Amino acid sequence: MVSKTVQVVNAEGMHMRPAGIIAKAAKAHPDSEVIMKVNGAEIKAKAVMQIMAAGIKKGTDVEVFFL
Amino acid sequence: MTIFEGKGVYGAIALGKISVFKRKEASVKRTHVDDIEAEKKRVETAKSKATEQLQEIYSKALKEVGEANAQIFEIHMMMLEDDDYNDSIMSIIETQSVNAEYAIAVTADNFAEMFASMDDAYMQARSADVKDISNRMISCLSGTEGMSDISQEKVIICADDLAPSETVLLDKEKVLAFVTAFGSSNSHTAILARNMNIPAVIGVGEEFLQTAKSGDFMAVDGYTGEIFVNPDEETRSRLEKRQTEDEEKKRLLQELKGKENITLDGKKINIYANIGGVDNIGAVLANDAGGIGLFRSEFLYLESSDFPTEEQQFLAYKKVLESMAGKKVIIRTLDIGADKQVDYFNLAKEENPALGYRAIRICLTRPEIFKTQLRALYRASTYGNLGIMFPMITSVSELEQILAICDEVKKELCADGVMISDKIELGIMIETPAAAIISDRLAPMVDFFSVGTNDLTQYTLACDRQNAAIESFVDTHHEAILRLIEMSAKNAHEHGAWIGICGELAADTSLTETFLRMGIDELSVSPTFVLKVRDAVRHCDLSK
Repeated sequence: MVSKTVQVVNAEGMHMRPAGIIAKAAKAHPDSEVIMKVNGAEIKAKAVMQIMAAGIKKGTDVEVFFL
Repeated sequence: MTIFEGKGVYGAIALGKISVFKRKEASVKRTHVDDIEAEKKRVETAKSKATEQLQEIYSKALKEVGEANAQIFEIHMMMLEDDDYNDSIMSIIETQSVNAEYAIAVTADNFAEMFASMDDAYMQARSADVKDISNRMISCLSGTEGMSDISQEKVIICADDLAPSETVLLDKEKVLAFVTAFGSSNSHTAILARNMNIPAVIGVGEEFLQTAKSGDFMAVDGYTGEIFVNPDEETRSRLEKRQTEDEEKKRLLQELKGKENITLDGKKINIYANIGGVDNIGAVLANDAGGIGLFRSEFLYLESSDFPTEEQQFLAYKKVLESMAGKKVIIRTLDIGADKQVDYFNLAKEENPALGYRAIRICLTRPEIFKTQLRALYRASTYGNLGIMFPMITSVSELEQILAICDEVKKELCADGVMISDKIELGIMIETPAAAIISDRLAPMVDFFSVGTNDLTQYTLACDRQNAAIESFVDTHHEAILRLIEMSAKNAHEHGAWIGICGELAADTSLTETFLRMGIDELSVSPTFVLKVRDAVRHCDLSK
């Protein structure tokens, strides 16, 4: 398992387009699970709706896990 | 005439016939199904059809609005594939034994609800995206098409709302504008309209749709967000006039943006812009000005109820310099007089404020105010290409005092370890007859002159600019003015200084050739005139 913590720097936070880009990138790895831990919740990086619903704002730390 | 108001999404005017768009909505009924597997298959089939359609829409969007905005539809396709979205649809079908349409509609509502209740306006607008893809799936299931064919004429589409995919599919050839009763300016619909350059007004309210009928004539003001159903003569001609002006400006912009300010025989001149606040920087860049020839710093003093601090000023100057990214920015030191409303300056009432205690005179007798401004300017200088200009100059000794204070400020800042640009140009306004007449003595002391023709005309012809009774005595092309300008130009050049004109005369295209012949190096005009002057320059031939 590999993990890294990154901070969201985009002024508008993780809105629809970046959420889409992340989901697309995550889906390019069908054999792995990609989880993002943010604001105390765990969301699936392949689920674009979940990322959008998380409403991640600028300055938030996100811990990304690759399983 | 009935007037409605909403949010203008794209600045443009449209006039034309209304076409009320009624979505052919498949009304969703909840029906019991026995064959769960078959129902799930229907969902899969609808999904692939919807994805195909979105692929086409994506391609059209790429052409209309470019990659960045077309991506919306790529993400719509991703949303269709989203696990949670699909799981929800399938599980509703399984657990309730209901039809696919119903399962999709409920899922759509749930997700839309979830987005709508988020605390972020941007995210709230995303519920429209979920609805769009879900409606598309439902349409694919029932085989209904999207928008009905628009008439052959160009029309203004009126609808309760437009989904992002519907917006992109609008045929720009047939659609003059669109107006919606609902909608948010954060929506992709608004973003797409802006990028497709379609005048649009959203959120005008339900009442509008109740009164508007297809075939009615309407005027849309995309700037103010006003719409006029069956406009009266006055409104109609007012908006038509603005529309023509708009179109002329757009045409000029297309033709001249990025082109050089060069005459037919190869003489170049700089065309800059005059502005009075940080909000107008966008207009300077949009109109392709080569720099700012006059940045009126008074707004900082007028907008405040007390003296703006050095820090406040520094931030404003820094912003301008950075926004102009290396293009010249000439900032004029405060040009305030008794005629302006700045109570905290405590200026005594004067009989003749135009001839009174103003501008540099205030600065030299109240050096604290002057030094604060200069400190802010020098501090900001490292963020761009700065020029500083001093108004109302009448004598060599005034200029000597000014330059001495500048040196003092520079020394103080250096002692504090503050970085200052070594490329700052210092110049003066030639706006008094005195300055023009002794310009040979002033030129060696500065890097440039800028002619303030408005005041120069007033002082030279002894006519009050604001006095309508003597209008006929004011000849803006008076030989005396032109001679003073020519004299100043000659003296400037003899002493290695450049000369520009920042008064209204700079935009007078009947004088462009005259100014070019005088060797004027720069014309600074209101942003909306930059391209008009460029056009004039490009049509001049000084060899003739």
